Amino acid sequence: MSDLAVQLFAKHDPRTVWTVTEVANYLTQVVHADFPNYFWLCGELVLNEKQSNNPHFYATLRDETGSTIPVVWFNGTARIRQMDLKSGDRVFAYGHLDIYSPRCTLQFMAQKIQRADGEETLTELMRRSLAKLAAEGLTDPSRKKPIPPFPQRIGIVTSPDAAGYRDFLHTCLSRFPRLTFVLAPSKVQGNAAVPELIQAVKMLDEYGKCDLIVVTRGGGSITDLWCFNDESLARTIAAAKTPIITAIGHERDTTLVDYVSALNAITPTIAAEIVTHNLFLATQALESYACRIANAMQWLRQNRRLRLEKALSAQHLTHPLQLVADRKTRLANDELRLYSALPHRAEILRSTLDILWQRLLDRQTSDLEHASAQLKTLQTALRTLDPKGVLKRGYSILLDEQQHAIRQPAEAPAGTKLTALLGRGKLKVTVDE
Amino acid sequence: MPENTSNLTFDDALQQLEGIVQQLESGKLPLEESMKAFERGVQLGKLCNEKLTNAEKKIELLTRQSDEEVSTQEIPFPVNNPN
Repeated sequence: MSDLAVQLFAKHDPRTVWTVTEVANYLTQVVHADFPNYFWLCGELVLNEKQSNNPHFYATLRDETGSTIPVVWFNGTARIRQMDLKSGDRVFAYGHLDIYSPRCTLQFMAQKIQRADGEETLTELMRRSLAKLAAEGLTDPSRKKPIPPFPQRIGIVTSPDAAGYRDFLHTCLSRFPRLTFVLAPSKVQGNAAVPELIQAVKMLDEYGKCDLIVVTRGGGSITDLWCFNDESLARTIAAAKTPIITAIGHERDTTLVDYVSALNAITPTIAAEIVTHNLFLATQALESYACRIANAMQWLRQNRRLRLEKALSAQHLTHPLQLVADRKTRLANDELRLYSALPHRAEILRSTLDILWQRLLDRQTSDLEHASAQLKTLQTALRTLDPKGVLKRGYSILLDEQQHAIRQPAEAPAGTKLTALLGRGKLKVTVDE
Repeated sequence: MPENTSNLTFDDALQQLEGIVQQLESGKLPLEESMKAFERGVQLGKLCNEKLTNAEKKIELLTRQSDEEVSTQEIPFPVNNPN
C-alpha cells in the first residue's frame, strides 16, 4: 500500500463498518491518488468471446505470467476493427487506471491502443529500439523511480526558447510559489539536439542536487520530436539516478523516452501539476489547519470566558452584602411569625377547652335529668307497692304473734289472737272460727 | 514545554498537526492542555511551512566548466506570455 493509502486507512476507526460502496469509493480515491496520470501498458490482447456491436471496446490485457487486467476503450471498437486487432496480438495501450465502482474492479481506461509493432504510429526504427529496450527490461514499471512528493529543486532539460519551458515554470509557480529550478539548456529539435539532450540530462543527474528532472518541450511535428526517439537518449534517461519526468509535445505524441522515464506526463503543464501536486495540497492543508486550530482555540477561550463571566456575575459574588441582608429579612420574618403565632395558638387551645368543658357540662345535665325522671318513676312505682297505701284505701292486714301476714284460714285456727293493721292504728282481734 | 519538533519529518509533523486540529476541534481537552496543544500546533505548522518553503524562488543556469566541474548562476524568469 502506498503512503497515501496507509494515511487514509489510518484515519479510519478499525471498528467502523464499511459498505461496499464506501470500499469502492475508497479504492477509487487511492487509485486516483497513486496513479494520477496516464501511462503505457503493454500486453497481449484477449478479446471477449462475444464482441458485440457496442461502440465501446471491452477486452483484457495479459502478460507472460498470466496476469490480466480488464481494458476499456470508449468508442474504440471501430478503431480496433480498423487495425484488425485479434486475440494474442501484442499491443500498447495508453491510458489510466480506474475502479469500476459497481463491481469494485480495477480496470485500465485506454485512450488509445496500438499494435506493439504497428507502423502507423511507431516507425520501424523506434519499434526496434523499443523492443530492444523492453527486452532489456528498461521499460519495466518496477524500474521506474518514485517521484518525490515535496520537491524543492527541480532540474529542467529544455530550450529556454521552448513554449513548454514557460508553461512548465508558470504552472509550477502558480501552484507553489517557492521553488528553485535548475536549467540545463539544450536544443529540443532536430538531430543535433540528441547529444545536447544527453549531455544536459547527464550533467543534471551528476550535479545531484535536484529532487527530480523534467525533460520537456511543447508540441511539434513528428520530425520536430524525433530526437526524443533516440535510443541512446532513452538509455541515458533510463540510467539516471534522479527520477526523470518526460513531457514531450501534446497528448497524441509518444516518444521512446516516455517508455523509460520514471513518469510520462502528457504535456509540460500536466508535468508541472504532477510535480507540485503534493506541495499544492500540503500548502492548502497547512493553511486550513492553521485556520482551524486558531478557530478552535478562539472558541475554547470564548467558551471559558463566557463561563467565567457567568460565574462571576452570580449575585453572591457581585453583591455579598445582599446575602446578609436577605438573611436578616428572613430572620425578622420568622420572628414576626413566631410572635404572632403564639396568641393565636393559645386562643385555639382555649376555645378547644371551652368546647370540651361545655360538652362535659351538657353531658352531666342530661345525665341528672335522666336520673331524676327515673327516680320519679321509681318513686311512683314504690308508692303503689307500699302496703300502707292499700290500708289507707280501707284494707287491713292480719299479723300473727310472729308478725307474719295471714294469707289463708289455716294459718289462724279459732282462738288465735291476731293483730289487724288498719289504715291508721291497729286492732287486737281473736279468731272465732 | 512542547516536545522538540526539529527532528520530525514533514509527513510526521503534518500528521501530528492534523491530530492536534482534531483534538482541539473536539473541545474535550482541558484549557491548559488545549493551550499546550495549540502552541505545539502552531510550532508544527511553522515547521511544515519552513520545510515546504525551504527553497527560494529562482532559476539557476547549470553549465559545465570542465569535465569535473559544473557551476550554477541565477538567471531571470521568462515573461509568461510574450504575445
